[in-house]
Amino acid sequence: MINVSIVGAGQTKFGRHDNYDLRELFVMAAHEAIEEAGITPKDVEAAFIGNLSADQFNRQTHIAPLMADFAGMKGIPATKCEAACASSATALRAAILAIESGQHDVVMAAGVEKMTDLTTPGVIETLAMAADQIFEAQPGITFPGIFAILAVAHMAKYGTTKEQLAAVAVKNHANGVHNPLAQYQMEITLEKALSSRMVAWPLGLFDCSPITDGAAAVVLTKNKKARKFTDAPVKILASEQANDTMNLCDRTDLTSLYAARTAAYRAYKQARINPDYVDVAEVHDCFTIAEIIATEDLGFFKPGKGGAAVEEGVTQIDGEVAINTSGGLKAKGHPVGATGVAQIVELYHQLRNEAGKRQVKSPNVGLAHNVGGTGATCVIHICERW
Amino acid sequence: MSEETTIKNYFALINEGKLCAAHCSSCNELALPPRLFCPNCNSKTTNWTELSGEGTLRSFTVIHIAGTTYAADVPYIVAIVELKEGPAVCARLVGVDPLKPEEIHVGDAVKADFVEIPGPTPEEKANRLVFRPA
Repeated sequence: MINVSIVGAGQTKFGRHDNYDLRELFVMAAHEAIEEAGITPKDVEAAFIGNLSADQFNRQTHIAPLMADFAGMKGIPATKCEAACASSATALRAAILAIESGQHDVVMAAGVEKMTDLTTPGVIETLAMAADQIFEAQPGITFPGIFAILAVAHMAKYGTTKEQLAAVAVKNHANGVHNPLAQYQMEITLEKALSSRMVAWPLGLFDCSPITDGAAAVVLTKNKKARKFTDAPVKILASEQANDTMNLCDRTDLTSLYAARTAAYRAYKQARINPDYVDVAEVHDCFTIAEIIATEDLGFFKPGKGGAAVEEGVTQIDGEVAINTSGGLKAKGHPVGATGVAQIVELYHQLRNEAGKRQVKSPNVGLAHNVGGTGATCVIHICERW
Repeated sequence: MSEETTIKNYFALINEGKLCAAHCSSCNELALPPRLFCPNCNSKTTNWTELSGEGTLRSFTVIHIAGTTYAADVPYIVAIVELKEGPAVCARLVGVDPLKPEEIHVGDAVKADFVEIPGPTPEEKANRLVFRPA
């Protein structure tokens, strides 16, 4: 049982930010979360900040104190958390555990990434560092390549089609239209998704999340104190994390992520619910196949049935389980180190019924599924409306 | 082949044209990538076993957009190959047309080969492990 609530959330617009530095993106998200919580930066007792690779993208290390300093949080323990694309979900988990330990009462969890400072080949090379540099990156694997390998295995075993992959992109772009903070607010057709430029066969450009700048932040406190900050806190029911082998070659099953299944199993147990309770989920659709695999690993659909489910509309905003109402990584954008907390920001708004045109009808339970790298890390959070 | 089962020694063996796995003398587990301790029984893996190089495709992809280092190589195929002896390895698949991926299938038989690549100095040669259709 976890006794921590979210009492404030903030997120920058996701996209290309030529006019703002890494720290400025962080400051904007942090200030919004702090204002939402009705506090000042001085009230934050500790900050955990997710970031994959400011060292490669921006030639900046030691970013946690830099971010905290510019956000007016001088003096507090500020710690960077890195778990590839799951960096800020691990930051959130660290923040939750810091409150649960009794050490702190008001803690910020955030994430920030500014990727567009590098050229596209530079970004591809940097992201590939989250695979095994010697045994995977040296043979020439890329991140789209990793998930393409999973897609080929999923297609071979279950008959999943390219059309089903494209249906994920079409749905998430349709959701992104209603998210003013999304990188893309444009619908795409199935034909357009299917005819996009090849990136790593069978994945084309519209199967891939974009290169993005952005930041997201939440303020957390004990359940007991939550009502002092806001009338509608969002309770955290579960925070679980699992790892898997780094190398794909060490996994016998390439159609599912062991870390996701394991973290999900533990999270449902911790929250004392089963997948049927989940009304809205933000899942890690870094590539279209990843959303299909996620919905199977989370137990929403049986293995091999995720592709058909998205095609049938089961995962639309008005479907049985709304998946990636924010537009997902695909349309909202994927500033890698910020994604995990940005997923929580979306759940916060959904569970408070303030998600505008993309609002799911009165959801009670939300789940966030954040995957690091090749699936070597997966972090699951389950939230509930107060 | 009594050297320590380090990554450095693994690549030295690749440069000799040998694909080897770390063999655990306690439980007979084969580890590839090599490990200093057996991933099965946690005892110190003590020797190398040379593998046949025969295997099947567990999955693959065709890279069309690569990072800076391999940008000139596209399109190229990266595969996960399940070796006859048990372990699997990530390597390039050559000898097939990367623009006809429909003709390549999970389960296809492949065989290890080595292609020469530039070494750390002009005098030194290095090998890259690749697979070809069997």
